Amino acid sequence: MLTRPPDPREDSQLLAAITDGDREAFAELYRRHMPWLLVRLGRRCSSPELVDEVVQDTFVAVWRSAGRWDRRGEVAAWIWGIGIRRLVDALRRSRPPADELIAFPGVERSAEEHVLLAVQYGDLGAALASLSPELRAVVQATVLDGLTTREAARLLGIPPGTVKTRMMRARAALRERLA
Amino acid sequence: MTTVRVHGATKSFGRTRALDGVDLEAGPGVTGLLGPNGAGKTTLLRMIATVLAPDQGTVTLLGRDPSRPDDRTWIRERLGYLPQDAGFHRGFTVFEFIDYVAILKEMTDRRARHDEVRRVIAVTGLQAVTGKRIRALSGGMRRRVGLAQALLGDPDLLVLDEPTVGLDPEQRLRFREMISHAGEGRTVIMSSHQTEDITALCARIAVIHQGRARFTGTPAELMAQAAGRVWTDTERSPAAITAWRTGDGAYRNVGDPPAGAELIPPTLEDAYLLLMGGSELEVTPS
Amino acid sequence: MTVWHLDPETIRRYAQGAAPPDVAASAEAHLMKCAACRGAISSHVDARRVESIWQEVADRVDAPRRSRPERMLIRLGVGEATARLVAVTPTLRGPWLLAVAGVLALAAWAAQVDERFLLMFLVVAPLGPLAGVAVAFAGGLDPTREIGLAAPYSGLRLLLIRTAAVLAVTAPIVAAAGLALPGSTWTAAAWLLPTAGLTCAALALTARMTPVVAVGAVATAWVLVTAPAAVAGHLDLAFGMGAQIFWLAVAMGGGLWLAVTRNTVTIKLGRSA
Repeated sequence: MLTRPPDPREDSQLLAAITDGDREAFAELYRRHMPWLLVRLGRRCSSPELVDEVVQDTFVAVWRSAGRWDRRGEVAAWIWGIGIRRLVDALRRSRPPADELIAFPGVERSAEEHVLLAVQYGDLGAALASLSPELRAVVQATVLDGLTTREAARLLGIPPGTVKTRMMRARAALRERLA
Repeated sequence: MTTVRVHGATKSFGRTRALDGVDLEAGPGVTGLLGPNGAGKTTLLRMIATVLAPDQGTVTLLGRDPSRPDDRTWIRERLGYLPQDAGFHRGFTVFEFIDYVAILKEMTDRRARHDEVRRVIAVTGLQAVTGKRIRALSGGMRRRVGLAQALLGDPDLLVLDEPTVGLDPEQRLRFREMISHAGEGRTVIMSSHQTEDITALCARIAVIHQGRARFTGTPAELMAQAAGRVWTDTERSPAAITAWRTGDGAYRNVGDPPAGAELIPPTLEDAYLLLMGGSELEVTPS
Repeated sequence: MTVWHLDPETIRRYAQGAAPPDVAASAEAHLMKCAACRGAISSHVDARRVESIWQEVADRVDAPRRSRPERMLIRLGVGEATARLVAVTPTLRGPWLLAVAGVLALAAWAAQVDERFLLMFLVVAPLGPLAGVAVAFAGGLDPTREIGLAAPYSGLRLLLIRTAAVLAVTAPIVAAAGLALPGSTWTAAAWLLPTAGLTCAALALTARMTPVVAVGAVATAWVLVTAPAAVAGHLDLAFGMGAQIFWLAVAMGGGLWLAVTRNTVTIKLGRSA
């Protein structure tokens, strides 16, 4: 099933076919997107078993809700949105100690974060690297992973208020650094 | 090796005599039942599918007697059946439907059952519609779903009632491929009123008419019966029991040729028409 | 669109979790937009892990969607295969249950209006569940019947499973209608044993005839016997202690007979089996 010739269809066409119950299209989408999702989620959770379970849940959700994709942006980003939220839910259910989470630094474009949009990745990477691990984790969860304050709080195992104050401190530090 | 043996089987529904002493023997490979509508093909196939018991006569399937409950269950565990009007729960998806039939076939282990369902879906090329509801499928696809469920559990005996009816030419070819593949190593009994399907697929044929087997043998043997009885002419011959104008303007006559007629090789259809004694004339093109 | 790609070394380190934070961040940003680099990650991921998760996903995706009653049955300990057979029973669909409830509601309402109709309610009550059993096996409503007839699944088992399911659903409807009746409370339950007896009798008859015919025969006999008694006002004759014991005996006798002959009898689920 996983060793077939490549499918010429684009991701968006695959999703449309999946809405029609096309299992071939689904297998192809899984082939394309499962590996990076596994790696990326793996960087945010130290338990491989939990990551496996979340990846499984994510693709089942993709199959069931392919029709709800809004046709805007990358299919990969949509899948990521489902995956990271499933991870947040899974972590909340298993209620891990906070130190089980890897402090994950990084950065990506985000529509709402104009500060970050305005700069080159290299500069921003360096700026982020200068942040303390706590602040970096908050920036990562909200900006890069696209989570809400509440979701980020669940992922990181800290109160939402703390997420907000850390985000404010991180913004101020980044502005200063990039100015 | 004979796997299906029907001897002197009769069956009446009310005052209608559907089968009137049929004899049939079949072994591994594809055996075709040919005959007009209402000839008793479906009744005979239902008998071979253990759905119907004969009023008189005997049926032996895979060496066992389907009239005995234990033997019947044993046979059913090795039987795949595609009925003429295979019904579907229309709200089911393809997978759900085949899975349901698999439950009826006593596959109780969920994991193994689902694997088997996926296998027959792959064999019949239905992967792309696995999750689709059956009511959204075309007639040809539904026929394929019907074949898929018949293949569950890799049966030794496959009973297919008009498997190619309602299919377009391309689908028909695809179906022939699947059926001939299925006929390797197992007994397939199929009915059709398409002589092309029978010619293409069957090692043996039985022509059923008015509840009896009028002919049993190979397609070549049936065709040999028409040798010297088909000729071409510029006009419809009065000696022909049937004749029609072909694309090139000449008449193809089937019957008892006059002296000096220009004989041409017969087809299975010619032989079939001769066997029917012209009773099928109303449905032949003229 | 993107002409720049992550170099193989960066991909390897990222995929193995060895990339430093800033490299990982830019890699992730790029991956969201680049199918080629996403594809390049695959070779660094354990193929067995990809395959085993796929097996799980495929199984969950294919697995039949289960209705709420079906999930409830499974939670109650019914096997998933059996639960499916129950869920597919034609009777257990909304329109049918509504029809049964409607007829009984009418009978209960009539009994409110005139005491004599109370007897008619008792005559009608067992017919609801019986009709449900008949419908569960009426050919027109089970499109896969022909395939089912050629399947090894035991006809008797299917008969009992579906009958039990139908009774479990229709009996509470009758009971609810019975509670709406005026007068003494025993009438609310007087139909129970007759229903059990009639059902068992019908089941036992399926060795000779199809379920639809069996139910029809039993129901006709019931109406012919009880209706005149009810109209004449001999309530006790039809539903009194003696009658109740009789029906209990019929139910037990029918059940016993099915148990004894279960391996030898041929159940006629269809026109002929």
